[in-house]
Amino acid sequence: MKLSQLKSKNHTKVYGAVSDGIILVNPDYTIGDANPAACKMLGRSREEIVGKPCYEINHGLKRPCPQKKWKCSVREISAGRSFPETVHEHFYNGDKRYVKIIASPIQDEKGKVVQIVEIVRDITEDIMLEREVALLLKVNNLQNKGAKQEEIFAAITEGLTSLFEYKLSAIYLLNRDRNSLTCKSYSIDSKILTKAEKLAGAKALGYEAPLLKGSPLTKTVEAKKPVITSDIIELIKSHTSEKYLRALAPAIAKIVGIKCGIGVPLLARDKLVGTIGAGSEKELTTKDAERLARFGRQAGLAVDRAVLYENLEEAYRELKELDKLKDDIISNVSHELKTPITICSGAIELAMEEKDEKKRNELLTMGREALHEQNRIVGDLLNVAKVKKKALRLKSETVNLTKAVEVVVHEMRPRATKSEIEIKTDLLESLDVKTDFTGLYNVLINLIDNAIKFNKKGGKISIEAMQKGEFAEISVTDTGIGIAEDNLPKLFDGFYQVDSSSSRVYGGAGLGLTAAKEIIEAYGGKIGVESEPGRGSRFYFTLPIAKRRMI
Amino acid sequence: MARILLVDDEPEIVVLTKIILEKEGHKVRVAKNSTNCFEKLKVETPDLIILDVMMPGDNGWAVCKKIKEDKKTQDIPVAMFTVRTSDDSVEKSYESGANAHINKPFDRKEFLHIVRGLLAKAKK
Repeated sequence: MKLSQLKSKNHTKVYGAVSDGIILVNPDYTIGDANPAACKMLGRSREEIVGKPCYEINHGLKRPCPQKKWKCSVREISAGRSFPETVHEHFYNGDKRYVKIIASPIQDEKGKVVQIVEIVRDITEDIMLEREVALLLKVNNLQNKGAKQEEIFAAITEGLTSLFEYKLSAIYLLNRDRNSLTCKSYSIDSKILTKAEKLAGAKALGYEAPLLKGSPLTKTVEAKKPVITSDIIELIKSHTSEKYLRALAPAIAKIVGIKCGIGVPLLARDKLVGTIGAGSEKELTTKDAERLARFGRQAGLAVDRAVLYENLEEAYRELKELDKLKDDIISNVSHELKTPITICSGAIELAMEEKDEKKRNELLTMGREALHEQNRIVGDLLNVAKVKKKALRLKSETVNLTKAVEVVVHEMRPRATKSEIEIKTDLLESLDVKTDFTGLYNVLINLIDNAIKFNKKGGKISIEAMQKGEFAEISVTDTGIGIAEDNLPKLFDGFYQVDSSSSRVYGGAGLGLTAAKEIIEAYGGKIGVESEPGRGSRFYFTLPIAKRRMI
Repeated sequence: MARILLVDDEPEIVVLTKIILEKEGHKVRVAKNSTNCFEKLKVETPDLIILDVMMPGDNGWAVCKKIKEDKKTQDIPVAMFTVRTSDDSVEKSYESGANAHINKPFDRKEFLHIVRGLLAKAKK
């Protein structure tokens, strides 16, 4: 049959206008005709195709179909047997396209197959849409299962590189400060990634990219629209403000080997959650941008939900911890207050009955000291609370160490003498430190108080200070019962269980040491302890030295 | 009236409690810790032992157990005297064989009432 017989005015119009390719194949395996669309897909002119054996045309197949198969399929159809629709990967103009070929027989009045008509349909868009939907479903499933952020991000980037056939893809989340993006997931051939990371000296995962003015990243974020860049070197440069990295950009671009980069916003409704970045070896079109942007809107919702959910979980955990901390503080403080309250109330009651003035005054003094102790405990508590809230306004004064120690020792000496303990000070030189006086005072009182409590009768306490680089190290050493090595790390934790039935190791000092640690660390110093059970302990802390005033 | 052994490491508590008990006419000996306590027990058998829990070395409960296990001392009434006021702590006191558990801070009248009670029981 000649094509001319098919040709009527309307048929010609249709034949020429359809976007699907129509190829007529004769039973002798030659091409009968090909419409304009088919010629376009094949990249050949009509004259080049017509009359040639169909297996020579090969439809731009990656792996040409063997002659035998062609002949076989033609015979099948000629024999009236159906030929399944097939999908092939074709390369037209260097572009990978997916085409579906539907072959149908053309029969004459007697039922004999006189020609085979092949519809060649470019279904690339449909395939891509299918994949997009599949990926979104996967992401949603993961999110419903309660998968971790990392899993979801990885699924997205892997999906983008494998299904959407980008050479690389990455997900960035917008940081709280809204000034930078953090890379949460990366998908690219691992060999290329390793090379690039080695060169840049920076890891891709977790990388924080600043939002520099005018950079493609910033444009995506601010405009909330897709941005396509062909200038890969500029694109890489825009990820950093470091000079040396920017200088390496051309080398990195070469290693990564992409031709075109695209960034789309990850949107949860109108809220920008982050961006998706992708790189391709071919030129990306607005269609690609649209597709990726659409994906970004859907994926954005899933990402947002996952992030919010994890943030919620974290906030809940933090809250539970704080709640427990609050309970511990309440229990510890009320516990610590019990002894001085007992002393205070007992002393005052007895003082009220005591007729002898001297004895009465002794009792009242005892009561007053116990009151001071209660004050200190509550003061410590407030300190810890303040510092934990980081609201402690650090009053940085220059405090003379020798003077401060003198004041404290003077206050604590009566106590020490009662237990026949000697306090010795050995401050090498007059050191000035940067701290606040009350803080230092509290720390010293705490340490010396402990040294007295846990010391043997007739024992010694020695206080030393020396310069160690830019810091002054102050130590309080006692000849007391010491602390077991296992308990050392818990000491400064403060809120460890006082309720453990084991003997009081440093039970009463719990809050004080924690407060001390917070204060010292707030001024940039360190606090620590060395101890030998049975022989004694040495508590030490460091504070920055204030520059000496020039006389 | 009675001989009381007071075991507590807090000097102020000791002073005050001693005064209170002496005003009632009792004779009070003091021990600072577990070792001290057993030293004093070797020398003289008291009519009542008042025992603090939170002490360096063996805590009061451990001391109480030892006292109650020793034939020579098991009949002496023991009152735990402590800031550990939780239900668990009270249970621990009774588990270790104590005859009473007195909380700190304490009400003087109640304290003396318990002391009287324990001494009266022991006499029988």
